Amino acid sequence: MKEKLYDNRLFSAAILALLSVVIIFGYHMTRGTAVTARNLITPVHIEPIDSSNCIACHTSESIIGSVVMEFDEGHGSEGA
Amino acid sequence: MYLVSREFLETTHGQLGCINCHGGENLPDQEAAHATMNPYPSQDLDGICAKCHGGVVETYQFSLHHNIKGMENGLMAFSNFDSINDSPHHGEVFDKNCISCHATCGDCHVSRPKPYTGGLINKHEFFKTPPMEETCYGCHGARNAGEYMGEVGFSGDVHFELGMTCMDCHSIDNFHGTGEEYATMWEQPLPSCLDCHEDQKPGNSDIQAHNVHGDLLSCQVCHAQANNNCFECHVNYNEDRTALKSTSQTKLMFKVGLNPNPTPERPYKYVTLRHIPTAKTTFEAVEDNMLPNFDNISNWKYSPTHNIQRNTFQNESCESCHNNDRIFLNENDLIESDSKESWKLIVPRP
Repeated sequence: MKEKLYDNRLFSAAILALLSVVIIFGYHMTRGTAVTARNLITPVHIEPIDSSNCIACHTSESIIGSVVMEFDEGHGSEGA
Repeated sequence: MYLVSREFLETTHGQLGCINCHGGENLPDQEAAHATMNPYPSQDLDGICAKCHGGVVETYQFSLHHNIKGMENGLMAFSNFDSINDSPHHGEVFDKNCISCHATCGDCHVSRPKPYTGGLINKHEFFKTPPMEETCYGCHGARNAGEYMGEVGFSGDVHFELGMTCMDCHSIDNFHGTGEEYATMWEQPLPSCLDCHEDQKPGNSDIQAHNVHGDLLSCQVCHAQANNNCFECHVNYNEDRTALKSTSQTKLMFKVGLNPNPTPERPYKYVTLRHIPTAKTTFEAVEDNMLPNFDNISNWKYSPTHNIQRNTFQNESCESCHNNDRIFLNENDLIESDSKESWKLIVPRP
C-alpha cells in the first residue's frame, strides 16, 4: 500500500524544521533590530601602518619643548 | 600635549600605527609628515572609530552630545523660525558659538574637550570610562560638574565626597545616545534620586518630611545648595569673525520657584531654578531682534542642581523654609531684561 505523504518521517522532520525556522525568525522580528548601548563593538581587522617616524618623534621627551597647547580661556564653555 | 607614551604603543589602538587614524606620511621631515595629517580623526563620525565601534557610532549620531539638538532647539524656540535652516543669522550663531559644545569620541576618550583646554589627557591613553575631572568638567564645569565637585559654589555634592562620578548615576545612554533622536535632554531617560534611594519614596519613607511633601517638591528643593546663575550674555565676533565669543555675569543664588514644565517624570510643583544667560539682546551683534519669542519662554529654568547635601540650611527646620521668603523667587529677583514668562514662576506668598 502506498504510504501517505504526511506519514513519511522525512516529510514530518522537514515540516518541523521549517516550523522552527518560522518561529525563531518571527521571535527575532518582534524583538526588533534596535542597536542598544550594550551592543557596542563590531570589530574588524585593520592592517597596521608603519608609523615609525611619527613614533620616533612623538615618544621623545624632547617634543615637550615644541608642544602646542590649545587654550580657549579655559572657561568650561558654559559661560563662567 | 602631543607626547605619546611607549605603553600606549602596546595597546590595541597603539598597534594600529599613528597613520591609520591620523593620516599623514611616515616621513622623517616634520612638515612633510604632517601635511595631510588630521589631528582630530574622530571628527568624522563615519571615519576610523566607526570601523570597530560601529554600534556606538550608530547611536552616537543621535546623542545630544554629538548633534547638540538641545541647544539648537533651545535657540530656535526663542525665534519665529521652525528650523535653523530657515534663518541664516541663527545658523551663523549656531555655527560660530553653539557648535563648540559638540563633542567627538576623542573629546572624551582620549583628549580634553577643545572648548576647555584641548590636549591629550595622558599621553594618548584611551579611557574606556573618561575621567570626569578632565572631560565632563571641561564642558560642564561652570554649572553642574563644577558644583558637583565643589569647584563652583559652596560645598560639593555628598555623592562626589563619597567617590561617585558622573557615570555612576548617568547611564552610558546619556553619553552615547540610545539611537533615538531627542529634542532636549529632558526627553531622554535621566537618573532619578529614587533609583538608589527607593526607600525614601514619599509614603514609604522613615523621614516624615518626605511623606508630608510628597511630589510637591523636587529633591533639590530641600537638599541642594546655591547654584551658579548667568545673566546678560552677549556674543561678539572675534577679530577675523570666525567665531562668536560670549561674556556674561554670574551670581551664586538659591531660588525655589514654580515648576515651569511639570511632566510625569518630574511632576513637582516647586523646584530649584537657575537663570540662563540668554537675554533678549544676546545676539544683537549678529542681527537685531533675533529672539522675538523671548518673552514667551522663561529664562529661569528648572535646575536639578548637582550639589546635594543631606543637611542644608533650608531643611534645618520647618521654619527655615516655610518662613524664609529669601529662598523663593520673587519680583525683586527679576530684572528688566528677564522674559515676561519668568514672572509666572514666582511663588505666591500669603
